[in-house]
This record gives sequence, structure tokens and C-alpha cells, in this order.
Amino acid sequence: MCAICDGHARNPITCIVPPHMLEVLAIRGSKKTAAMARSLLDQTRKVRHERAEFRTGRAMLEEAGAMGGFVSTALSRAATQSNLDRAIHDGEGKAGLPGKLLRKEGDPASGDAAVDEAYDGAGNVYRLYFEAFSRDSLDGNGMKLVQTVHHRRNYNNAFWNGEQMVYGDGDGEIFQKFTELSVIGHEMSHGVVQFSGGLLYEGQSGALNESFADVFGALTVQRKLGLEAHETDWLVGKGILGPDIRGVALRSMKAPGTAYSDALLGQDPQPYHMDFFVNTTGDSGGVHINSGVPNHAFYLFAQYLGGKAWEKPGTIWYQTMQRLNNPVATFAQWAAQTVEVAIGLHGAGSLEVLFLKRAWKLVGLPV
Amino acid sequence: MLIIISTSGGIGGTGLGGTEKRVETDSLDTPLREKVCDRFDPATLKTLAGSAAGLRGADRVVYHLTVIDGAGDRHRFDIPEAAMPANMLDMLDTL
Ligand SMILES: [Zn+2]
Repeated sequence: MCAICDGHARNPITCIVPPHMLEVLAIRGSKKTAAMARSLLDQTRKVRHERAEFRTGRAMLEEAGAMGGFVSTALSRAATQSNLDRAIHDGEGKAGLPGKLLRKEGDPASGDAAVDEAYDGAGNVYRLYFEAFSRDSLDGNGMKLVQTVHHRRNYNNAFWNGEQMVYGDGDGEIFQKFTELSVIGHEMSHGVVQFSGGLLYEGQSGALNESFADVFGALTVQRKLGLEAHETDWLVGKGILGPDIRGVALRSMKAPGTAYSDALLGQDPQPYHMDFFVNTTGDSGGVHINSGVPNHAFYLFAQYLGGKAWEKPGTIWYQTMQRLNNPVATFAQWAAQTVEVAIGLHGAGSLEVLFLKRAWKLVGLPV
Repeated sequence: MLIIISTSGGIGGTGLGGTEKRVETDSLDTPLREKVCDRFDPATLKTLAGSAAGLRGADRVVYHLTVIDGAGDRHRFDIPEAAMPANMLDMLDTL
């Protein structure tokens, strides 16, 4: 019996919709459909009550027409006019969002370092997507970039809440800041994933969501500094760890698993190869752990190819996200899609395709 | 009532860091104690946990709350911060 219908008014449509489809509808449906899917998921959960399975988030796609009628507008419509529009809010140490508006588009520097880093950083990320991929903001349609800094008290985190970016100040011990450029790029890129069809925030699709955010966070830094693949450190969240933490960053795309090793923070758990894939129920099925595998594949590909990683490799990854149309994609499906995109852009016999296949093979995902 | 608080998830996948926090409500001043006991009542937390499906976003933290009530019964809940009202998160920051 369908768990959803048990004890509730019977609806033949909801009765036959399995939970994984509801998850997709919660991402891709219209606001009304998504709300219905979330409500049904809630009911499913209540039927399965006492089970402690909670997830840290869901990538969501805004309305894209009728139910099931998803189209990546960002891919189909190349942006020609910049609509950069930033709003930076001060959370004032509280949890309420978005907080007090401190700096809007065109305003001079505020003098508050976190506010100004968030403002400048969002500009760098916007320009990466606009100038390199012809994408106008997170939704491809000029969406206002709302950010809140000074969120909560001693808050050791930054996140995307489905509508805006949020940054804590850190506790000064484990983390000392979160308004670092690759972190800003990471959070904003979660927004790009959401508005590109989404990747469910669990297991391999969740790790792909994380990896996309890391890749474009790193590319934002590289592009701003004008660094080629061999000149950059491929670190994500460099310099945000506390002064006494033994580590250099949150993650290393060049050498996953080596970013930190510390008594308080533990050992960086990221694998660089599928042989070391971590099966876990924690961290939404290891989304921040197993992202090391596709992260490393991107690094290898960019290194083989040389040059500016946001150009050919970044374009292949970006277009893969736009064309994927599979919110529950596995690593293998993502890898296959990158190769398909690369063949379309550079030809089946190209060096680009050869190097890309080699990179995936080296992380244990032969295409 | 004893409340044991820990976290997981977040941008590093390591939660909010630090060791688990233990709050003995008897040690709190009366006005705060009443607010905390009300907010962390197992029935309230159960409702909150049940509303946590299909939440949006990424890099969110999950709170793992164990409440040991006056009768000595343990109640365990995993609740995403996204499912918690802002005033509850502010309360957690003061404990
Ligand atoms: Zn993330």
C-alpha cells in the first residue's frame, strides 16, 4: 500500500507517485506543485515516523512552466546585458533573514570587511557566469544577489537557503571567516545548480551538486587572479580555518583528503578515486566527502589541457549542468554527459575529449 | 530536563564544530528555563522533525538533539536548522 495514502484522503495521482518522484517534483514543479510534493513527502515521513532520516537541504528549481516542463532558460537564452544587482544584509548576530540592508548595488564600500567582501565577491562570481558562460545571474534571468553576513553568533558555516547566500563569522577558533571568494562562488553556484534543473542533495547527485559548487568557486578565484591551471593551488576555502587549526583550506581539488588534519576538525575525509568512495548516511550521504572524486577529475582534466580552466574545462562542466536534465544523476552519468558535451564542442577525436576521458578513468570512472 | 546538542553537515560536512553541548535546564534562570523547556519539549520537537522533508538549499546544518525528560526517558531528534524558527536558533546560540 502506498504509504502516503494510508490514513489520508485517497487521491489516485498521489497514490502512485513514489517518494523519489516527489523529491524531483519538489525541485522542478511549479510553486504549487512543489508545495504539494513537499507536503506529501511530509506525510510520507509521518507514516515512517520515528525514523531519524533528515537531509540538510534540497536543491529547488523555480517555476519553469507546467509540471514536468522544465527547460534550462539559462542555456537557451544567452545573456547580452548585465543585470548585476547585489544586496548585502547584516544579520547582526541573529538567525532571522535577510537582516538589515547595509549595502546595495552601486553603494560605496561600507567599511565592514564581511559586507564588502560579500559585495565584491558576488560581483566576481556574477562576472564569471556572465562573461564566460553568458549567464545572467543565478537564475539566468538577472536575479538579485541577496547575501547576509554576520549570521548568528560564532556561526561556523555558510550556506545557500534556496533564495540567498548566508555567511557566519566563525568562532575564531575553528573558522575565522566565510566571506572568502571561493566560498562565495561555492554558495552562489548552488543557486546556479538549483536553477539549472537541480541535483538532489543526497548521495552521488548531492556530491555532484557539491563538486559543481567547488569547481566554480575555485574558477572564480582563478579568473579573478588570472591564473592558469598549473599556477593555482586548487584549494576551496583557503585561509578560512582558525589560526591554530592544522590545515590550509576546506578542500583540495588537487589532492583531496589533504586539506586539513587536526584534533578539533579531524582528518579531511575526501577520496580522490572511486576505490575510496565513502558509503555513509551522515552528511546527506557524504555529499561533502565524495565530491572529492569529481573535483579531482576536473583538476586532472584542466591540468592535462593547460591554460585557463574556466575556458574549455569550465565551459564543458557548465554546459553539462545545463544539459544534464537528471536531478538524481550518478557520477558515471555526469562523466558521460561531460564527454558528450566535449564531443559536441571539440569533436570526438579531439585532444579535449581524449584528456577528459583520461581524467575520468584516473578517478575510477571510465567513460 | 537535560538537552544534549550536536550538529552535522554544513559547508565542511563537519557540522558547527566543537564538542556536543549539554544543557541542564535546572541550572537556567526561571524565565529562560521555561522558554527552553517549552521550545525543547519532545512533542514540539517531534512536530518540527516531521516537517523537515523537501527543504531547499545546500550546506545546511542538521541538529541532533537528545532530550532526557524528568522521568529519565530519552527522546532523540535530527532536525535541519532550515526547519527551525529563527528564535529557536537564537536560543540555541545563547545556551
Ligand atoms: Zn556546498
